[in-house]
Amino acid sequence: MIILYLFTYLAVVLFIILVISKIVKYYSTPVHVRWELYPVAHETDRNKYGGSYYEEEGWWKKKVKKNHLAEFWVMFEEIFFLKGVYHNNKKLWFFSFPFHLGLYLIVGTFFLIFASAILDITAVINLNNIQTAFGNILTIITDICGYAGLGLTFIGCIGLIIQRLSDKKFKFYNAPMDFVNLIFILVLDVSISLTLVFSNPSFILSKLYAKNLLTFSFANIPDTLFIVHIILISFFLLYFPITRMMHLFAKYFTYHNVRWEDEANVKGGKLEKRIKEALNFGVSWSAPHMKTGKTWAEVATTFPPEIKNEN
Amino acid sequence: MKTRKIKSIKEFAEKDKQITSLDPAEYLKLPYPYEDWVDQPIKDLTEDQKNRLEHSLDGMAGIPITKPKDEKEREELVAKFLSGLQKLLSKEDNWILLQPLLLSMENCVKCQTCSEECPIYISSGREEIYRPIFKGEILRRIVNKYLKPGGKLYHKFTGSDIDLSWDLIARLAELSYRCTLCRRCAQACPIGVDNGLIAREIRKLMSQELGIAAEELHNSGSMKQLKTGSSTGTNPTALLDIIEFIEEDLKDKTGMEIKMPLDKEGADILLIHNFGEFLSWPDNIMAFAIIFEKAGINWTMSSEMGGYDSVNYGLWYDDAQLARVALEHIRVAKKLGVNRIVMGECGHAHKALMPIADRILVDDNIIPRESAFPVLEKIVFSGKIKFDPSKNDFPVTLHDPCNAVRAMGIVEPQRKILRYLCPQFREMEPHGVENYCCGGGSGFAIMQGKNFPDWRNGVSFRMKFKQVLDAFQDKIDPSVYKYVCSPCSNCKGTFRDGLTYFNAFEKCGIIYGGLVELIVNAMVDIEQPFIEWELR
Repeated sequence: MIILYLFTYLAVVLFIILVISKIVKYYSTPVHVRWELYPVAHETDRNKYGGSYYEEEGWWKKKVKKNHLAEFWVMFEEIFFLKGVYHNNKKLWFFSFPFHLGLYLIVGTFFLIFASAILDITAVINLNNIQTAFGNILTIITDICGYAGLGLTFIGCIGLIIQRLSDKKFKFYNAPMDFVNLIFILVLDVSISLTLVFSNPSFILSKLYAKNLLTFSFANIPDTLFIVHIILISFFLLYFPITRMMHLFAKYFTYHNVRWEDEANVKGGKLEKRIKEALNFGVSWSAPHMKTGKTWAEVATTFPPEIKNEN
Repeated sequence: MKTRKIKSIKEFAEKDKQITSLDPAEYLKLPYPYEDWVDQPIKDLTEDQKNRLEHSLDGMAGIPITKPKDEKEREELVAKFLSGLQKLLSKEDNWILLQPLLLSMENCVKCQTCSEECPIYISSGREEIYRPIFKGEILRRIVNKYLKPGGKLYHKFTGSDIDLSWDLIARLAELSYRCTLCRRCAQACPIGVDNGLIAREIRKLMSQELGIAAEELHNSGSMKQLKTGSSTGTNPTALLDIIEFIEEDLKDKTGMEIKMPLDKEGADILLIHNFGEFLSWPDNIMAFAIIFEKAGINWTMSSEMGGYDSVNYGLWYDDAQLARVALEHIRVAKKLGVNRIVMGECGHAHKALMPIADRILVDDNIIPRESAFPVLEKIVFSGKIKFDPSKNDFPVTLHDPCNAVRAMGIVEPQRKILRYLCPQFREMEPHGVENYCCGGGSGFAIMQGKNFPDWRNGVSFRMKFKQVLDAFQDKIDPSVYKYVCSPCSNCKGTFRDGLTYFNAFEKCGIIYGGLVELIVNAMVDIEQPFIEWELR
């Protein structure tokens, strides 16, 4: 049994390492040229029609105000309601929305399960004998969240698989991995659902397993179905970070660091310092006009060799 | 007409085969009076061109690429491509766009939300290779299979089963010139993947590593600009002659004697036009001069190399050329000691020198750059010039240049002017930041080689033309003259060729022009109509 626990720890640790390394990879890239797209959410008032501070004569003399609440709201609508997909790809939205919402609810259930385990450890509730109103409410919320999440994910998953199999525009680009991602999630969904029916009502085994993980007590799990589920979920944690499902985290960067990144470069500012660093990177592009071996600053300030009359 | 269609992505790598061919019958249908319009098929290349140039994507040679002499050269080019691809994904060689590129390469879930947003894909009759994700998917598969550790082992699982060959590379390079980089697809992507950026980065790889770029953008574009002062090849001496001619023309047209201020040190504004205006649309140069002089602006233009042509084609294909041209603009402005550079009516020049160059300028090179649109808005509403909007009482619609609007958020100033000065102003749908590209973006407007113009006029301009027709449907009769305000030189070039292709003046009375021409046309002081109703 200890192997099961150790495998779960390993999966969680590797999951965290892989996710963080991916985030660090994006975060640590050098400064890049502005590549924003309007509307930029934090443009106060102008965000309604996609305007920017460039609309003002003498924009550089004015203080830029950023509406961070609007950024938050746009991200919220995008993440929880898939607003962009609703507007531009409604057919997909009917399955993608329940699929994503279901996954969010499952993630929420996961946290509620761990919260219940922690509350049991701290003696606020008792998992084996819930008598307090708070304990009951927590159980009900976890149940609703979990059952709704599993149901929505199931519907979404089946729908997305059918769409990928039947719609020409998906079929042309399908890869085995696209199906494996969906089928893996479907199998996880079914496996936990089966445990709920047969041995894990109100996620009781899940909560106890979470408690054991948190307290390093490797107690026996008397249910094969549940053990299979734990093995599957551990494998999924290892699989997730190497797939395109990582767009969950990448989306922060595509919006905040690219689409909405409109900071103006000012003399003596932090941004200027980062630009200077980047301009000193070496160039190894080899086309004749590129001047291999020079820095970017040198390449930019000299003409290609083919041009004689340099200024 | 017999057409070929691609059946699987793997076909893209097959040798000695044209991947697809277009059937004009499948193009997007146009509204009245073009329901029965029949486009001619894209002209075949000559036998000589077919023998010399790669054309196996869709029968066109847009860039064009010379065929390798032998197998050895093909292999060398493939190796060079892979080397360039590594550089494209490296911090040192591609700090300029590495983060956006990585995010777009690694996170597309192929949901196809972008497809219906692409005017070229829709206008072509939903040609598969023009689907926004197609080129990105090819590049992604190459990266996954050939650059990632273990890629050759699990490429079938990840859907990266593609064989790299020169044929594939040549097609991919050509395909990167079937996207106008309008970035409507990126705007629609729920994750933020940018297929326009991927197209731009493929172009960059081809230019910076293999020395392959559209002739009009590189040799006859940015290289000529650095050498002579303008991408048109106009040197400073010729510029002075042209300006003298424009001043005379201005006097004939309006009776006003205006001496264009040149190289005035310490002026408030250095105005830089796309040089296409001087040669093709001198009325635009005149109109700016009239407005600035009447408003009492302290302005100048430059006659020095590097200071009189705002175009910067590097924006579309090459980072080094982009930076060199931008720094030339800055050098001239610094030398004149102006307070600010104002970009004339040219969308890509706006984007190149304002937001993009912002991240290559340091120290004293950081000088203010701004758009002409808010400057004009301030002048129009300042009361310094008297207007009679009834002089503009004809249907007007506005084209939004992608680079100034979707990529920079300059949406309202030009609209405020049109709402005030043009009683019959109406919007296209969609408009503003959701506009459709004119079809000439990313260099297409100036790419006139081989059979490319057939494709641009028939396919990439098509959606914009449909929008124009829709906007004017209530006054579509040719007896009612109508004006498409297109405040961008490259867009105007596309309108000129596209409207001519569709015979739109004769059939519908539609012409195009800039914003300043409408402003001057409405001025009380200008007695004769400034706008001339002919397509030119």
